[in-house]
Amino acid sequence: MKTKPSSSIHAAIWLPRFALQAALRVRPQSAGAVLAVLDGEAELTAGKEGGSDRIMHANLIAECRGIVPGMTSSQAMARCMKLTLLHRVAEEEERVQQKLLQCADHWTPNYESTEPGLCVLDLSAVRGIRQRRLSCGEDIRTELATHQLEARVGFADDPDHACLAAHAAESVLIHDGPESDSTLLGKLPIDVLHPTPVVMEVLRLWGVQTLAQLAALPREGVAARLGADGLHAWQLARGGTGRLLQRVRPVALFHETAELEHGVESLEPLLFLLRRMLETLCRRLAERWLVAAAEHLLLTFEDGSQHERLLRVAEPTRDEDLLLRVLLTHLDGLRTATAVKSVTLELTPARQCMRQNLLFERSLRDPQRFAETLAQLEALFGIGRMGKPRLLPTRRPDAFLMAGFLEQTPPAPARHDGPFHGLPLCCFRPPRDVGVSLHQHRPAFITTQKTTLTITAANGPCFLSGNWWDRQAWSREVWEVAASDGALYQLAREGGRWVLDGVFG
Amino acid sequence: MKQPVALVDGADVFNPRDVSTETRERLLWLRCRDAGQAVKGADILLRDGNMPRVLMDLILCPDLGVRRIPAQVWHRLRMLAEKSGVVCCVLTAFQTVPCARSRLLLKLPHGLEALDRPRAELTAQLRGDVVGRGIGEKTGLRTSGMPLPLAAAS
Repeated sequence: MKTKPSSSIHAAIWLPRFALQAALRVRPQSAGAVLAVLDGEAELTAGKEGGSDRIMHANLIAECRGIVPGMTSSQAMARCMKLTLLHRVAEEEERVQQKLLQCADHWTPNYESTEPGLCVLDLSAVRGIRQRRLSCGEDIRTELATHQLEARVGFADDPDHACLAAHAAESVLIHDGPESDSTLLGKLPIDVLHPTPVVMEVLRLWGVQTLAQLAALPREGVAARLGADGLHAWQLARGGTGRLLQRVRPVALFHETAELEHGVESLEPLLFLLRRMLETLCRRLAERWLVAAAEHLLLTFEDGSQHERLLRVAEPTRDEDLLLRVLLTHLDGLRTATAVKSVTLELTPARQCMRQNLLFERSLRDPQRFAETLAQLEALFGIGRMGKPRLLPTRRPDAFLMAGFLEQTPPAPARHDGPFHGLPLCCFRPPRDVGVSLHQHRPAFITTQKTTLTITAANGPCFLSGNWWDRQAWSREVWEVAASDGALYQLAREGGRWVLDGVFG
Repeated sequence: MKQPVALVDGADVFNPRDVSTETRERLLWLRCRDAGQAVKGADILLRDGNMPRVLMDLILCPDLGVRRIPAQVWHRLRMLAEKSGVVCCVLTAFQTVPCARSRLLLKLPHGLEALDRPRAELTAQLRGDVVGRGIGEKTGLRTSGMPLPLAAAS
């Protein structure tokens, strides 16, 4: 057997009869009865024919009366008329699982939970754990007992041995090495490995009932006859392969919602509410060493309308005052028809920036203030009138979007970049309608409402078109002209209408 | 050094297709409706001081709107720029900023053939006269040097 490094210590917490324990939390008065839990929920099995559900777990009294998992409810009732059948309660099972994960989280952030009711903790970093494994196990059991949960705890050097130890434990079991394998493995049935039904059936036919018997089989023989699944079960029976934990990463929610009994009509109470929300959210961020990169605000009004806004922060932070100032700047310019009924605030979490600027690169002087400045500018100019221009993949004039200046997006392929020619075009938005007189099919005069210009020279025409495959089809005839006022203009004819696109220079 | 640049576009005439992707990525473009809004935008940016360069393009803004900007506003903007260490460049069709530290009159003697020449070549040939330096310095100022296109005349 492979020798594991002695510095590594894992603990497995197992809640035996997980579904039954969860169901009993809903019906605690049934605790002393002959109990079994069926593998379906009450709502799901309501329409089924009676007696078709199978027993998932039975308590000790029921097991003593010959009721075992896998029996149909009819078979179980035939064994014991006093049997009380419970249905699984999914919500309660979820709550129990969360309690288990919380308990694990109190000891270490490095833990896995590969199945409901089982949690494996890497306690290698806990100081002095090797000397106080027994008391640690008892502490874990005591903590879970406060939630009416019975737990068994196993300690070992590697995760798989710890799982086996937990299954073999009466309360707390410490597996100290290969010498205790025969005792430990000898106790456990092969069911604890959760082999596939085919492997299970073959092992049953071979008369293999315990892990010790399975581990005693030759590896090559098991691999040849049972394949990869059988070999995996054999390796688990031998104590596993010293794998890494599949860590549980709890999903943290960084949003808060407040439903208001009386609508808020002014800014001050709304800011008071937002400050409280920010305090809570920033505390959650701090617990995970995160900062906020953006604030998503959703206001629902009494008339059912909503106001939604994503406010970016120049440099991610969890400074409540700063985040509130960004909200204040935005809300200051907001006018609503009715009172605010509910407020939802969500912070986008991000890791704290650990970047070091380059020697010749200068970042923003005061990024926090800059976010506020951008919010001010947006309030002044309106949405879509300030930011970073982003071109759309078309040659149609003025085809661009305005993105937020702080928006981090992957750089677009530089398909329009290249050696630029000529003077830049100052675009008229929208293009101005003009009258154009032609001479020999070329523009000769431009007539506006105020004046008429003579065209002294003209380049063109240049034909552009696009979207010919759909209803947005467009085509333009573009001329570059020098007018008698000394300026260079871009003229275009689109659908028989002449427009002045802009002036060069 | 690739620093971010703010363009306060007084008449909303900037064509983003005329600059490279790299330039667009560090450009903060304010699309103003008139000269008054441009002044407000520039004021906010200069007070902030995070943008090391602020370009204020008022060339195609209507004359009347630009002339209505009081002199004290330009003085305030200059003081803000000095205080925050921001380079502020105002582009106008005629002499407008009384307190400008430097005033440059650019000549654009380009004909239609210029539209086919490389941009770099045109930039290299760009010529201008420094017509004023320092506040109150007596220099021979030219009040109109460039032709006014249709947009500014309205």
